[in-house]
Amino acid sequence: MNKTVQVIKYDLSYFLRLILIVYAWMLGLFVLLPTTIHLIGSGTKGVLNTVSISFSIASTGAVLVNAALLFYFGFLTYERFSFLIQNGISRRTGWAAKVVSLSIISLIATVYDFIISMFSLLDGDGYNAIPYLSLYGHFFRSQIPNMVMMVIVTFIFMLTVAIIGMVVGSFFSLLTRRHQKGALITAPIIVILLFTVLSRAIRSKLISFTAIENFSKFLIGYSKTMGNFNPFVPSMIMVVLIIISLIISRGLNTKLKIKRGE
Amino acid sequence: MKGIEVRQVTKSFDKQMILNGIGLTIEPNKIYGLLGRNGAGKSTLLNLLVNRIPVDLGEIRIDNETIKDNDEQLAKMFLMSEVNLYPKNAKVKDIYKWTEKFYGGFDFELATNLSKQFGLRTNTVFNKLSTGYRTIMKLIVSLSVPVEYVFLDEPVLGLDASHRDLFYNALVESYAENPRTFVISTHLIEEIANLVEHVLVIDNGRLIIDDATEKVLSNAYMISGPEDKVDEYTEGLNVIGSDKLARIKASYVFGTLNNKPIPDLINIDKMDLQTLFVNLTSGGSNNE
Repeated sequence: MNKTVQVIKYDLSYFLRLILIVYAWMLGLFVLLPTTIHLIGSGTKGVLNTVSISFSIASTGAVLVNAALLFYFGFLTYERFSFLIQNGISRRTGWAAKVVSLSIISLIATVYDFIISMFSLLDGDGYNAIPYLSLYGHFFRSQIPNMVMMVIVTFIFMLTVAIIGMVVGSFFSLLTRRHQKGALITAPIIVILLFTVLSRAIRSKLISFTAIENFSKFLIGYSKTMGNFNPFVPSMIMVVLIIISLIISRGLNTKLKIKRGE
Repeated sequence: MKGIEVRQVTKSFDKQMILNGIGLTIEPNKIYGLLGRNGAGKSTLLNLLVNRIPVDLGEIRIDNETIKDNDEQLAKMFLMSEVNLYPKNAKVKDIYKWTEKFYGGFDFELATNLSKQFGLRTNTVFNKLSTGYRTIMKLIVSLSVPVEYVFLDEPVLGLDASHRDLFYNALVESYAENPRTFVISTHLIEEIANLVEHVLVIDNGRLIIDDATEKVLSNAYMISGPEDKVDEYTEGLNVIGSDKLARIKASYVFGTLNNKPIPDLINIDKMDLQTLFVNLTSGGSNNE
């Protein structure tokens, strides 16, 4: 247990350092740069407005950045495994600690997302300013359960992204460097090919577009009879996805080994 | 049973068998020399011992417990190898700090003293260290971690003579103060010959010697003299190699001399560890 706690501390210190670096870059790119350009171009007139808009863009963009970072944290596998096995930490402990660390970071990202959403609501933009509430905001009649559900769904979503990152990262770390490069080149080609085949199948009516539409609606929890979106459906789908991904990532984790000559 | 048991371990890479049914026991508080030619399987064996790679067949147990997914047992061992498994951007002092957290202890005093003696700056990022200083950092960590078994795979790789001397002294001092098991795998056999209490020799994936150094060397002889006399004397003995210069021949015998009477003109000397190793692993080559 003590070892797991130490690995979690190691993970969190590494993740938080990376988050700070990314956020510093974001502040520089989305706030400092536009403000500097404004100051050079127009002087101090209206600078507060520019800062305010820049902050708004940066804070909303940070929600997406958080999700991308979570995927990246989940993806990081081989270098972390190397360091842990060098220090007598087993694969199982490393895996369990990573799941806990990713859950903690997901929770922090969820809290951040919630605070940003609250600011949007206070600005008077209404439910439409918040992607979750614009879809699922009418499922419960009062605001509080909708807010609670938003936090839960956001957390599950963030965790899903992180755990899928873990699966992809574990799979990648089992490949040799040559095969990793091959996979990076072929993966986008396969995705493009799949979309091409799918669009042709729809055009030639081999697959009905309505079927895809209905399936997509089901995934996001649209209920025709209720006339609104049910957040429990995507939540359950994501929970199942998390469980399956955890099983796969643990299976791949047991196969991790130090590569020869790398 | 206390110690590490390696039971009939087999390991292959790309369909090539590296270790073929290796079985041995590593006992507490001893210094082992793990010898073998390039590609013999020494590093593979050490990597298997600390579970960096899984075994294909067989089993490794430490103090009667399996090492697979066993933090308690893995924490009893430390492998210093030439591969760099530390985060590239971590500072040396941070590596010390995390080693202490993961192993539950670290001799910071020793690490600081050794860092000063070797001239290793602990504020430097691991990736910025030269090959020699990376080795030095890993050696310092290996002597400062509170483990029962320390495996050193090519520990002096990239070190100059002065630093090698410094390391051997530190190793002896550390062992005297805190006896524990060291398994040293190196090609510089002469440098460790005086330290090693037990010899393990791997050849073509098989363990061909597993015995106390003293016992091994007490059975290793160099028979020299005129060629015909040497050949006559060594007939029926286990000759593992020979050298010849003009009409003078030296035959290397590993095993008993069968109490044969020693003829005049024949000299019998003890073999050193390096000569024994070279002759054992070169397939009985004759440099004649």
